[in-house]
Amino acid sequence: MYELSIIITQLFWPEKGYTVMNRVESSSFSEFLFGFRDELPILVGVIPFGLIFAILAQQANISAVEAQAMSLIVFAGSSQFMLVQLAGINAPIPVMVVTGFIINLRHLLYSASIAPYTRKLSYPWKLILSYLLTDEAYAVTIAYFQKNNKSNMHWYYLGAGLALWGSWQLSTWFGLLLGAQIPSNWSLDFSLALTFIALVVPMIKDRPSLFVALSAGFVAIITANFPYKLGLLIAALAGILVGLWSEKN
Amino acid sequence: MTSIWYPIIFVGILTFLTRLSFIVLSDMIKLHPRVRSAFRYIPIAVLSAIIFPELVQNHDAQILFYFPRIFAGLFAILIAWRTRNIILTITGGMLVLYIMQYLFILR
Repeated sequence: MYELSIIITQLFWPEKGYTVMNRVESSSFSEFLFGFRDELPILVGVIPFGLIFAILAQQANISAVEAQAMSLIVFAGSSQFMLVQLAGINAPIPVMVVTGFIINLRHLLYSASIAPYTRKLSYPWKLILSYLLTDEAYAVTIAYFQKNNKSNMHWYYLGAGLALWGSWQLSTWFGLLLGAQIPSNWSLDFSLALTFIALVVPMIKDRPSLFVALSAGFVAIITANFPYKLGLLIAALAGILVGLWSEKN
Repeated sequence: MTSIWYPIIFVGILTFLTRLSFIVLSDMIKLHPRVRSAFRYIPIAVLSAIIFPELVQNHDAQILFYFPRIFAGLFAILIAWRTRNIILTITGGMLVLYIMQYLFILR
């Protein structure tokens, strides 16, 4: 009962702005709930994106079963968007596979940055957490991992990952049900860029990190028309190099 | 079984292996400390590289320094910086985008 009251208190009145590394252990269940809770605001931006995906899939003559399977198996928004667009123009299968794969290469960087925290986990845990490694779950989780040092932090990741997973599956499903009742000129796709803004701005705490953001963004605009969205990777690597360089100076 | 199943399954497998890569391999390889310190810039670098092109494109993904999105994006950055509130940032940014689109009859 005491444990439950602490969970509820922390859920509704989370401590804000702690700068010291937090090592106070809480139960695995409350870690899970914290992760789930911290992911919820992100869903405001993700759900519209899932709805649009479903509608684009229908417009490309992809069946409901296929669209839902794509959300379950690929489980990566931007490459799913590209796949339905390519399906709409009857692109060859190898082109679709290569394009979808290269767009998702940024997950290599996410995997590298999350790996130090999952080192001690069992293989089933590593498989499940890998499946749940999306832009949005990663961004929320890495911000938490960098501020905390607990032995059961992977439960936080699981909570954030499952919240995002559930909302992506459900918003795909609702989009398939609603169909074309949502017009594309509502600019709902912009909500995802806004979500990432909300996630990245609090991470910028010093001069090097500001330089990373500005240089990665600048290079990304210049390289935006590169094939296979390769500009994204080039821009991210450029940003990281600028960050390392500005640390020295 | 139509052809869309092949991309779904292959991209799914390749994406999963990409996500799995370092999480499983880091047991076997030791990374240089300098590479490690570069890791802390990964979230900012990748997310910024996703955000910035979105701010200068219209909804057909044409780069044309699309005024309403730049303005809404800058406003959202301001809200995020001052409040650190995710929902306020998203709704505020969308609201400004809609106002700009309405005022300038653009899409």
